[in-house]
Parts: sequence; structure tokens; C-alpha cells
Amino acid sequence: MNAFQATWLVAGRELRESFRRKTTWIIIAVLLVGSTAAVVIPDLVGKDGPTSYDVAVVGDATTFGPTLVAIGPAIGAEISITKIADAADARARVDHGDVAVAVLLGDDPTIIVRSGEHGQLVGAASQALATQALSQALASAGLSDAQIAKVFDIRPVRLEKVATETASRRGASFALSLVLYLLSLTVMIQVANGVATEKSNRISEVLLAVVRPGPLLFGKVVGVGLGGIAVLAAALTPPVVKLAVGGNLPQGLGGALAGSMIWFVLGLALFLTLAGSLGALVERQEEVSSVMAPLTTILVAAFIVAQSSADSSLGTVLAYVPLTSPLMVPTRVAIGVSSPLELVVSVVLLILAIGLVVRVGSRIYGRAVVRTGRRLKLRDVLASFDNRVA
Amino acid sequence: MDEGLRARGVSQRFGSRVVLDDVDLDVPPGRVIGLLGPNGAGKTTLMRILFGVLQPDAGTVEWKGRRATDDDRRSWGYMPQERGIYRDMRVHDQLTWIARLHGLDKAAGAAHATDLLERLGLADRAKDKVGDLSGGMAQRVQLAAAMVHEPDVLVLDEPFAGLDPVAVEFLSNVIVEHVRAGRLLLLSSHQLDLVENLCETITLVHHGRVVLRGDVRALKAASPDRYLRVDVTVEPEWLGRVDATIASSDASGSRLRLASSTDATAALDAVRAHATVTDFGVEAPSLSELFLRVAGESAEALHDAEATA
Repeated sequence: MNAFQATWLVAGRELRESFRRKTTWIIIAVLLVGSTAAVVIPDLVGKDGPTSYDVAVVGDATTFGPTLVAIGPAIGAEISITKIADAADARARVDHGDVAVAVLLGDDPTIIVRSGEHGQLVGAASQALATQALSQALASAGLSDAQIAKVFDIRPVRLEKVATETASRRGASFALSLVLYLLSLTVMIQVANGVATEKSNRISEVLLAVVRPGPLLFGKVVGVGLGGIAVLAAALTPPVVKLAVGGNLPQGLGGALAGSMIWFVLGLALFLTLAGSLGALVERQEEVSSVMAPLTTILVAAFIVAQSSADSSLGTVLAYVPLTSPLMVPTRVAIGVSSPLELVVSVVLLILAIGLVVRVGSRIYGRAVVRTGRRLKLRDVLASFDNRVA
Repeated sequence: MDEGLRARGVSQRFGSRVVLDDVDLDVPPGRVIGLLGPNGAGKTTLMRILFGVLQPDAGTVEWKGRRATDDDRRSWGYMPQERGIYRDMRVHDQLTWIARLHGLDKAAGAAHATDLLERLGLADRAKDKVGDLSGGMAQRVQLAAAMVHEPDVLVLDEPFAGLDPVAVEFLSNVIVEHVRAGRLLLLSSHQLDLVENLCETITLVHHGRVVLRGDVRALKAASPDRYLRVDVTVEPEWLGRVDATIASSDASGSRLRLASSTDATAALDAVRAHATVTDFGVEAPSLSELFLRVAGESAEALHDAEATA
């Protein structure tokens, strides 16, 4: 039996056992539902049509009413006017939520609104009041109605939004990175736990009598990693389906998705191999999280830098470092700050790092996994490399 | 001896602690071989070295007269002390998978697993998870895992630890059956009395060194010591001028160690003067007594070692 067959046997066991667990299916179902909801719900809400507001007016609303109704479309709302006889009634209706705001006309105009609500509508009402006051002032200054109408017949200001594309790209890459980050963290702990269990149950001893440490460690990485990717596929299927049928996805998600996969898969291989080696150091299951702390810290730090300042010089440097590039590069691709050279160099470094980690990691694993009795220090295991006859 | 398994000059240190110091071990076919000694003597480390799980600092493992390779080792079977199997995996799946690791194809592995579960009386538990089985049954699954690829070499680390008498009897029968078919078997134990009647050849290790080795009957016959076993508890003052010491006393009676000049009947008469003896015997030393003599340690040391098991 060669190393490849052994690796595949070990990986196959991990996969089969993983898909036999109920929890795996529950996680897949939850992710599938959540991701579908995230893709579908904004569309449904978006087709809801404009918001409509009821506005109570106390006083003579002949000019104010039509002015306010005319402003409505500018704030994306349909405004209807209700005339109310006295201010106390108007205030009570606002308080009960029967109307959105109430406007008291007269010499001392007042807008009544529940604290913190309907900011845009209040703005519109203020504007209508100001318009009314201005037109009255113009009329008393002697302008004819036609002249006044001309004053107000100015083109509405056009609002131009900039940087929407970068923002939506950032949003998409954030969502994707978050999923990848959480998944990496989960499967990393899963590998370390698996190795620690095998060590404490002395299964690794039986296996090492039959299989070399390399295939044993890497088989676990491949098996657990593929299981994680299957779970990820559940989360990614809805957006991909929507992309395929030409839905209204934020631009850049498609590229970020495809690019991220390369770094995600390679990054996963690197992190999981390290996690497996570190998991072999523990004596009891409870020590797994503490022995994993350096690795999870790097992952968290890389995630934070990637989300906050991927385009900084720190981000540029970390895009080359194998442990951080899996999180940094996809974000940099999504926001369009990476260069082709950077991508190539980063992938090559990442692959070299995996090769190194598999070699050194399987030696650490092979040594540590049969040394029971106490929690091992990485230093002790590495030291034992030197003092043996080859 | 070209057909057997042997270790030559094996030494192993962990940091500054010497675990094995120039140890030789021979496992010829057709005999039950015991690797015995108190806990911490280095038995498990030696077994790991036999299987290449650990690379020794010095020494070699030979199989059929040449250095053992990974392929040789894949055909052997190893059962580590306690556990050594996935608790959350189904019994039959686990055995089939282990058979495949040993190089069998899936169909053959599954067939072996089915046969073996039948032989070990576990056929109706094939689909259960190992974690749901009782301790004795889980131990049989463990044994099955070591035997599922029908190995020529079976190595069992502390196979009797924690077993009830029925399970001990069952396991002993499996071991004898394996050996009678002309195959190799090595077992380790710190409970010398338990394997007294099973092991035909022993290697006794203590603090990483071999202190006694050979055929059990020959070793006993060669010992100058003789013991008088009586079914009463002997008080020291009963012995009077008879040159004998009380080696041990327990619920079944006492064992008196006789000086080489002492006549066994004189010692028996001294005891009979104080109590009625209905069962007695003059015996060669037990394995523990042989160990204590060569190890030069007090009986307490051995019992302390066993108590920490």
C-alpha cells in the first residue's frame, strides 16, 4: 500500500464518519437556509414599493398640503394629509402612532413627531413649511402668483452616489471572509480534537504501527478539510445559483468567490496540518484550545487586518506571508488592490509552506503522538529530532 | 531462529530518562512469550519500537533473520494497553477499515471482520458503536482489531489488565489457539501471577534492563529456592528452629521459603504442631518470587508498582 492509498483510506474514514453524524447535517441545513434567506429576502423587501406616511395637519393646509405631498417622491414616500381640528388631538394621534407626524400651522409652526422617528419626513415637512413661508413673503413683497411659481420652478438637485461599487465589493468580501474564517476555525479545532482523541485513546499507536505519520496526519487533514468544504458548498450554493441565473448580486462577488477558493483550500491545508501537529502535543482533550491559541490568534489577527486595512502596506506585506495570505488575498482581490505578481508569488509561497509543514508536521506528529503522560512542549519534540540515530 | 521476531541491543532515552538499556528479545513461533516486569519497566516502549512507532536510539528489530521493514510490520497485529479503537465508530466498519489499512481489499476485510466477530461471540453487536459496548466486549473488539488481517505476529500490551476471570479465560484460549497454529505471540504483563500458567517463555525487564529470561519451567527448575505452601496462616514463632521464612500470607494460607538445608517435612511438622493442615505442597518459586529474587527488591515495591496500574 502506498502513501496515497493510505492517505485516502484515512481521509475516507473521516468523511464517512463525519457525514454519519447528525450535527453535520444540521449545520449544513442551517447554512443552506440562512444563505438562501440572505440572497432572497432583500429582493422580496425591495419590491415592496414606496413607503406611505399619514400626516396630520392643524390649520389652513391649502398651500402646505399640496407642497408636502409634492415633496413625497423625493424621499421615496407617498404622503397623505389628514386635517385635524385641534392640536391636542393631533399630538395624541402621533403619540398613538395613528399618524407619522403632525404639523401645526399658523404664526408659530410646529412639527410633532415621536422622538427619533421619521427623520426624512420631518425634513420634508420643514422644507414644505419653509417653502410656504417664503412664498407668502414673496407675495407680500408684490410678486404675482406666476412669478412666485417661477421662483420655485428650479430643477431638483440630483444626488450622485460615489464608491457604491467598492462598498458593495467590500460588503461581499466581508461576508465571504467571515464564512471562510469561521469555517477554518471550526475545522481546525475539529482536526486538533480528532488528533487529541486518537492520542488519548491510543488509536494513533495502532495506526502508526500500520501507516506512516505523514499519510495519517495528511489523511485527516484531507478528510476533515473536504468535509468542511462540503459544508461551505451548502452556504455558497444559493449565491452561486443566483449568480448563474443572472440575479442582482453585488458586482465583484463572483470573482472574489472564485479567487477566494484557491486561497481558502490552500490555507485550509496549511492551518489544518499545523492544527494536527499541535493537537498531538496535548495530553488531555481540554488542553486543545490552549495549544491551539497561537494558531487561532494568527487567524483572528489576519481576519481583522484583512477587513480593516487590506489596502495598507501591512496588508500588502501580509498578502505574501503564508499564514495570513489565505485571508488577506481574497479581500485584496475583492477591493481591487492586488497585482498579478502578488497573486502568483503568494500562491507559490503558500504551496511551499504547505510542503514544509507537512514534512515537519508529520515528524512532530509521529513523535508527539506516542509520548503520553504530560503535555509536551513543541521544543521538547523538536529537540528529540537531533539526538537519535537515523 | 530465522523464522522469528527479535530485538537486539535496543536502547531508548526520553530526555535524560533511560527507558530501555541494551535490551534483547526473542519471539519464536509456536510459543506464548511473556514480556514481564513492573509498570514503568519499559515494556510498552519496547513494543512500540518493535512496530516502528518509535525509532530507538540504538538497536535493531529483525524479522526472519533480517531487518524488519514497514511492509513486514503491516502484516503484524498490535493491541495496545486499553482502548486503541474509535469509540464512536461501528464495530464492523472499524474492523473492515483496519483490515484495509493492513492492505486487504474492502470485500476481504469485511468478510474477515464478520468471521472474527462470529468467533468472538460479537456477531449481534456488529452495527453498534464501540462506545455502547461493555468493557469486556470492547476489549474483544480491540482484540479483533489486532487480529482482523490474520497476522502471523500478534503483540498484546497488557491484555489482561482490568478483565474479569471469564474474559481472562476467553482471551487465554484465543492466545493458545493462535500459538498452536504455529504463529508468533508476545504479550506483556505486570501481573506476573496472572500469566504464570500461560507464558511458556519469559523476558523479565526491570528499570529498562533484562533481569531474567528463558523457558519458565527451566527457570523454575533451576532455582535453588523451594517453597512450602500450607492452607493455614502461619505465625513466625511457630517455626522455632526450622530455617524457613514466611514469604507471603493471604486468605488461602501461607508460603514458607525454605533454606536450602531445610527438610520440607520438618517445616510442615512445625506448622502442624500449631494448626491442622489439610492441603500443602512443596513448590518451585512463582514468577513473582523469581522476579523479586533477581530484582533484589522487597515485595512491597512490586505490590506498589502493581497498585498503580
